[in-house]
Amino acid sequence: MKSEWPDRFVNMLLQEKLGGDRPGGCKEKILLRARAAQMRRRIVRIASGLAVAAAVALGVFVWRFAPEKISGGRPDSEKVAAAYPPARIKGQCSVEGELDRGARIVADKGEATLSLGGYAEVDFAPESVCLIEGAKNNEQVYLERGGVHCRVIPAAAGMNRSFSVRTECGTAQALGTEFSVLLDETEDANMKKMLVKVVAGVVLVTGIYGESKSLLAGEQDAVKKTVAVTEAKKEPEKSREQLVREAYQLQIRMLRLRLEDIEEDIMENEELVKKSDNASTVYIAYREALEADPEYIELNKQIEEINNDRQKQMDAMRKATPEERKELMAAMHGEGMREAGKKQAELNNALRKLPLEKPELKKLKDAAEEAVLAVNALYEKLLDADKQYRQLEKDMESLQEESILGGRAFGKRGNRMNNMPPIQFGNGGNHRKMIFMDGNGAQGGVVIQEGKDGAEAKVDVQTF
Amino acid sequence: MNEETLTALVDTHESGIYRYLVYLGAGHAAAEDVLQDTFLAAYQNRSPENDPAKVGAWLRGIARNIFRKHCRKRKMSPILFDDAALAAAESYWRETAETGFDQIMLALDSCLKKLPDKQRELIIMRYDKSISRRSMAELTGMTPDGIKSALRRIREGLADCIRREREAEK
Repeated sequence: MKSEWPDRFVNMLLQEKLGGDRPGGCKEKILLRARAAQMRRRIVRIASGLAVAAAVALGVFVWRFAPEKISGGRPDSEKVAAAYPPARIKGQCSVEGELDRGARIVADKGEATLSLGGYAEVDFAPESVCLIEGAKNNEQVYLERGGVHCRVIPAAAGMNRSFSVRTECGTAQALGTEFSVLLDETEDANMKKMLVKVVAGVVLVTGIYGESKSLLAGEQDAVKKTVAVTEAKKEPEKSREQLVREAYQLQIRMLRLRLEDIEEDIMENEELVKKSDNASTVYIAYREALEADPEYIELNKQIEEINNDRQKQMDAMRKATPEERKELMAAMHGEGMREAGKKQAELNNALRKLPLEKPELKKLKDAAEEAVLAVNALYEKLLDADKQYRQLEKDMESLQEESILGGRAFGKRGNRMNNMPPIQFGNGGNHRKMIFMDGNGAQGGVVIQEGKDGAEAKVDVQTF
Repeated sequence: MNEETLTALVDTHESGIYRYLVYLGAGHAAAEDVLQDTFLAAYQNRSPENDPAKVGAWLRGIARNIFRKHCRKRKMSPILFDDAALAAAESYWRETAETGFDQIMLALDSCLKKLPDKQRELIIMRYDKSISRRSMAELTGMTPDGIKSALRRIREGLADCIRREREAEK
């Protein structure tokens, strides 16, 4: 083999000597590509850092304001068990047996309300009869006779609980809602029907044959004992292609879940949490300082005035006759409208530039960006350290490539911004917004303006 | 690595890496592509050394890997992708081309002049006029395989000649 190298070497020399000049501009191409790569890296770094900050801030928000706040951050089964409220009843009714599961409640002619699990309240129609069924966090009543009106507090994020009313015709299961169930009795026991009326939210109604349908707020339906809710649909036979696709989807979904688990573990890293907290604090400090600035307040006031004028014009349009509407439309699209639009753009621009013109605000803004970058650097380091994560990611990519839809149908992880958990992300042409969250919801964020032809990306912390 | 360092790196090593890629068997277009990718990869990493010779070896390592991937991606079958062959290629490159490339080119000039007319004609047809072996065979009345062997023999002769010229210089 070694004897081949002199030959190759001379071949190379001859090509250089006699083969004509190399095309020029290679250096320029390299430098252009390097600049573009640097810009991409910077965007990804900032974006993923912001994502962490946003996710942490959201986590803090959920932890602070969730109705079932559990100390220590993780569910403590003993505390939860101790805290689970017992069934309570008030009003005119009689209870057969102890007020617990299996108890039979017979309402009198007046009002009666049963409270279950601290999250479901059942008002009885006069002379209704109910049995308490279900289990912890899956409360259920069996309506023997009459009707009930139920109010269910929606479960907090991460909690899994349900409430349902069962009758001999079927079951109505609340998915965080308010609804009524009335058992309509006839002489013929088989013609009994359950009337379900939804006031708010969604209710899943299931007939005794297992057929189900969802009812939305304002909808009602009757479920007869002998008739299914909806005709059972026969599943069409799946083609081989569909089966293969589903198998791929399943595998990809499982890998994605595992990746998310790893990401969650990383998100719990003490140092990362500390850095993320710091990023949130620094960002909020910047936002508070900005919002307290008199110039900022004044600019916002002017923007609001323009918006109010626009709203008034829209209201007038709604009330106007077709003739009047034409005139209003003409006025709206005239010079005045253009002026207002221009003015608003100027104000928005001034608002954006404000932090850069004031040294104190600029300092805080820079600190916010720096803190976010610090979070991101650590996050990337942790991800890099996790070999399993990288391997899983490779597996997922190859599965996506193998899949018959070329990966597109299952969604690549590109939108996760370089392996980051999902974030609030707005698209607007060549700029993107990352939203920061605090206790009051979305309050501000960062706009990343991508440069053209390899130019530097502009990164701007803003309050929305 | 910043842009300034990258510019300096490209200025110093661009030609060398390009030649090295051609030496490994890359065509001009592939060599251009791989060359760009090599410097980009270098830009995203930090050079482990300051010594230009060591930096050159580091860049050749990157270029080798990228060229290997390039060939695999395009299902090309380059000669060399076992480690022993690559080590031999690298060692020959270091011995022959690492220093004094200009002298090597002068030696080549001199050796080309010494070639018999028929051999020089074949070299000019192949490298200067880029005529295919098949067409060369038609023009010279030889077989394409004969042309291949003849070119190989001429190159071997040139390699010996260059070596002798360089030894004589020393």
